[in-house]
Amino acid sequence: MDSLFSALISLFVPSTLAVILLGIIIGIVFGAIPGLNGVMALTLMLPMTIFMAPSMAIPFLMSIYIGGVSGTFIAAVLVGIPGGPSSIATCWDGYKLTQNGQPAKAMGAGIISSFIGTFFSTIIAALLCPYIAKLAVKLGPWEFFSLCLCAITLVVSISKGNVFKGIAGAGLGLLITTVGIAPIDATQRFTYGNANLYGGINQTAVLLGTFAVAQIAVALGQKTAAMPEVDSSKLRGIGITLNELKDNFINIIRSFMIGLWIGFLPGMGSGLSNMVAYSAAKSGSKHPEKFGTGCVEGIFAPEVANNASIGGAIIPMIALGIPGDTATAVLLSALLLQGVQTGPLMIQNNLSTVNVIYMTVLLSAVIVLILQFFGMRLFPKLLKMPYHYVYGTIIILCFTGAFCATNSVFNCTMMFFASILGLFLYWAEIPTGTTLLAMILGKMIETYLRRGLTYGQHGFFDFVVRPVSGVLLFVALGSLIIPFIKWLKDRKSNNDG
Amino acid sequence: MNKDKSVGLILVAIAIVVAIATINMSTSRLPVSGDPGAKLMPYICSIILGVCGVGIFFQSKGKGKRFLTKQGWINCLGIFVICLFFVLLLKPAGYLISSAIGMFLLVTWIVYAKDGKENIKPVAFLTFSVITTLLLYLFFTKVLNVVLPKGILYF
Repeated sequence: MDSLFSALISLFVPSTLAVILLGIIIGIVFGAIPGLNGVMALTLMLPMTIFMAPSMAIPFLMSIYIGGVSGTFIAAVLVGIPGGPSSIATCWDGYKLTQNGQPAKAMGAGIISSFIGTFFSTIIAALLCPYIAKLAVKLGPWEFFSLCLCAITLVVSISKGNVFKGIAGAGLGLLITTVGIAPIDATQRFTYGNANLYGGINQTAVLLGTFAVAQIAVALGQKTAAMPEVDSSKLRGIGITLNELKDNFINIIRSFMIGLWIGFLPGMGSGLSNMVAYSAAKSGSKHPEKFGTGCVEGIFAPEVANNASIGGAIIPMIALGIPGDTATAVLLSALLLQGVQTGPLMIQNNLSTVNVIYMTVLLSAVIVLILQFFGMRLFPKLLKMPYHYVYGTIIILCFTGAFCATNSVFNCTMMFFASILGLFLYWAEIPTGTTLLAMILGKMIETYLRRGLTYGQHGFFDFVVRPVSGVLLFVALGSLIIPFIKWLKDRKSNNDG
Repeated sequence: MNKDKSVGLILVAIAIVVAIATINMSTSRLPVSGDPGAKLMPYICSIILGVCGVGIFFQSKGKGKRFLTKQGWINCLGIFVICLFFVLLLKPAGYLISSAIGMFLLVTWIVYAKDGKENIKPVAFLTFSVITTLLLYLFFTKVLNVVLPKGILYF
């Protein structure tokens, strides 16, 4: 406890506090701008930290990380374009709420959720780090494959209308990930000699294409491109009431646990947890029909979950030296650059550094909360801007972001093709969420599937007989079959009627 | 033929193309024991898309709601044409020129499509496009140290 307290004191040195503040602002700005994200900010700032002392470098990078994850909901709520994969589900209700003239409520829910998720998940990480990490070691590729599959089917099951369309969306997402060099044996697939495709199709390009360009183009086609009206008189207080918080208590706890657990599993993070939490919140809600129309539950769930993934991702990073997501992979590199020994001995050999990490996250969560509440009155002013300027700038900014992601014009071309795919998805009424989730998890699914088949003795049977994996597969199957049975029943009753 | 039937057929067509491309894919690596190889995932995708395509085809009924009107399609596709023009211009003309032109065209098209020709203000749109492009350029090159495409004119 004393060492935690002294770590907190060390952060209040003016220069350290200044870099934390700077890091948070950079993180929020990168998180809020579609196409940029916290990982990009971390990567860009990483070389600068080589020349810093560890006492400054680690808080600086951690604060960028926190700001980056917390900031992603701003664009999702205000313009319906997620700042990154971690806020895809936030768009579904956050933007609707803004369109309904309640941006303060949407922002308030996002800010509070971000704080709850980050702050409490970090406390749990600090308390349970050594114990929970032991469990992860026992999970094999079978469990990870089943978990990924279960995540996709859960999201498919909440697709509006046709389950076949939800699965087809996932199939298209998986297909995108097959382009490039295959995992395990490095076979070139669908590259046709184009060196730009060896690394696969860039996720940022697909995300920006399907969400930004296609969405703006469709909105223009449907004549719904005007920016939503903001009722300034409603920009009071923290946007949400205490009763709304109370009503969402179970939703928050459930989303928190989902975020913490998914964040903790190596390779998965906020990009997955927000959608699973949204799906779980919808399933557990008394009014599932309100989801997608601008209900506050649909903001609490993804935002608590994606921020709770921070604490979850920190656990394997500290206890095992395994990154929980891309951002923690960059942070691990930063720790190595600072001469910190990562892995199971990190807590034993570098306790002060570990405590600085925990305390920076907690302090950053508080600062982000304050900054975003002040910014809350400024962010909706973006909506007062003439929509043609906003949309024109967003499209060019997204192409710039796509270029920055790989430093090549080819990625802009990919983004253009992704926007055509997005248009097809909108036209076909195939949910974009399942496509993007499958794209994010595609490589992992393939890797774990092939590893499971290689390591096991009984081929596909191993995936079913291992208890955790078997349960997850059962849930996955159920989540697909139940909506299908419902559809058959509805059809029968319609025919009878 | 209604929209869902078309969607189903498109998905089946994609599934067939993927299956043929996978069959023709060369995998020179020796297989590891138990590993189904790199063709497994494309085959799975092909099956998923094929089955779903057939399912959507047979599930479809009625005409469904109209996605866009004829004018709506023109407005929508205009954005894609401008984006394509921007992407094609990016390498030869560089970031500054292509972004300024691209943004000007986008802003003008959006106003034309939404509010009509009479609301187009070319001078204001051009000024906005040039200033915004310059600010973006300075942010990315000076603050983030990103090297943006310079084009044949080297700026």
